Amino acid sequence: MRVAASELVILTLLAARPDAYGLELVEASRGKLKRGGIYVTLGRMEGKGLVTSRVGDAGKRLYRPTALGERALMAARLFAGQLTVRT
Amino acid sequence: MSRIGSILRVFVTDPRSRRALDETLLDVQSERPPTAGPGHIWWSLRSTSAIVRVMAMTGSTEVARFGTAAVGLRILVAIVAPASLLVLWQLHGAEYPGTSPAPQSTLFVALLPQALAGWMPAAAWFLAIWTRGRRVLPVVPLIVALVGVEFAMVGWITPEANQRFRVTVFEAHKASAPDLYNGTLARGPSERTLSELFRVWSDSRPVERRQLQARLILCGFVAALAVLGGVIVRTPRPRRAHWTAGVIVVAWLFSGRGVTAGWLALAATAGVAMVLLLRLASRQDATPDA
Repeated sequence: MRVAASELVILTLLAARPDAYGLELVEASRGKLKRGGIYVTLGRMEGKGLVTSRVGDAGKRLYRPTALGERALMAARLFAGQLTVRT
Repeated sequence: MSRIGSILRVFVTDPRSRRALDETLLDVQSERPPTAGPGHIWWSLRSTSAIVRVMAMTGSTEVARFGTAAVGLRILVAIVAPASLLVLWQLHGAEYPGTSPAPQSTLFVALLPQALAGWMPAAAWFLAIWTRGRRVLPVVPLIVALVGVEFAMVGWITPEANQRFRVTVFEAHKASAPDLYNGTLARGPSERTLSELFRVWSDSRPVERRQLQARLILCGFVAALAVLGGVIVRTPRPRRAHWTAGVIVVAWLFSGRGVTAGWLALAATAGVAMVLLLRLASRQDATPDA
């Protein structure tokens, strides 16, 4: 499976704050994610099974990572040398 | 924004893409400042940018799934048909106080060449990016045919139709008040054929020179858009690329400002936006493996 850089940013943000909505992720990304584009990316990620969503109380759709999404993030961090592996 | 949203939704049929558009529109609504001012301008710019972005990104999916022809047809249904109906409605509602009404059908037919000439650049664009399987239309014959048709349209057919429109209205006035109106109607710059404008070029007025230049520029647009469409459709990832470029080009053409004084600035803006969107589209596939 291919995971785009923007998808990794979203997974990182969702790992820190699950049940976030799109605009919240845009604001938390400090310019890495853009309005409009975020929802296309989130829809694509949902199709890949990386995130799941539900409609929240305020009518906004809330997103959280799936187990596959968390594993993909771990793999990406390991690949980037951000995760220490103890032997 | 809900009216704009309902128009935009026509172009997006994929359920996931439509949801992305709906959520973007919802964000735009929720961020709308209550009062007018600098905040409102900033919100408008940010909202427009978000909507253009979501349309560009979902558009590539739409074209990949349904093909250029289907998306082009949707644009025609969503924009051309309502615009034509609006013109027809306005024309039907036109009244000439104190005179007998001019024949509506004659006036409508007389307006058609002008509308068709204005649509030729868009037609050139759509025909150039038209794909059927891996087959595309050859660019050079396409340019020769379309520029030829446009040249005839703006050069002779439209001026004659414009004059017919004016004469029809004038005759209606004359019929109702023969003692008030008499004589014939002289041709203005828009009613002069290209050969007439060329003939009087040396001692023509600025308005006539601008008329000649605008018509030739319109022919140039047809050729330029056919070339641009032909180049883009032959790129390695045409489906993604030509849609994103098309959004800007068609929006620009639909603005109806292609041949006004500010067309150079508009063309430059459209060009920059097109390059940025192409970059955006090409980056969609450039993703690392996790």
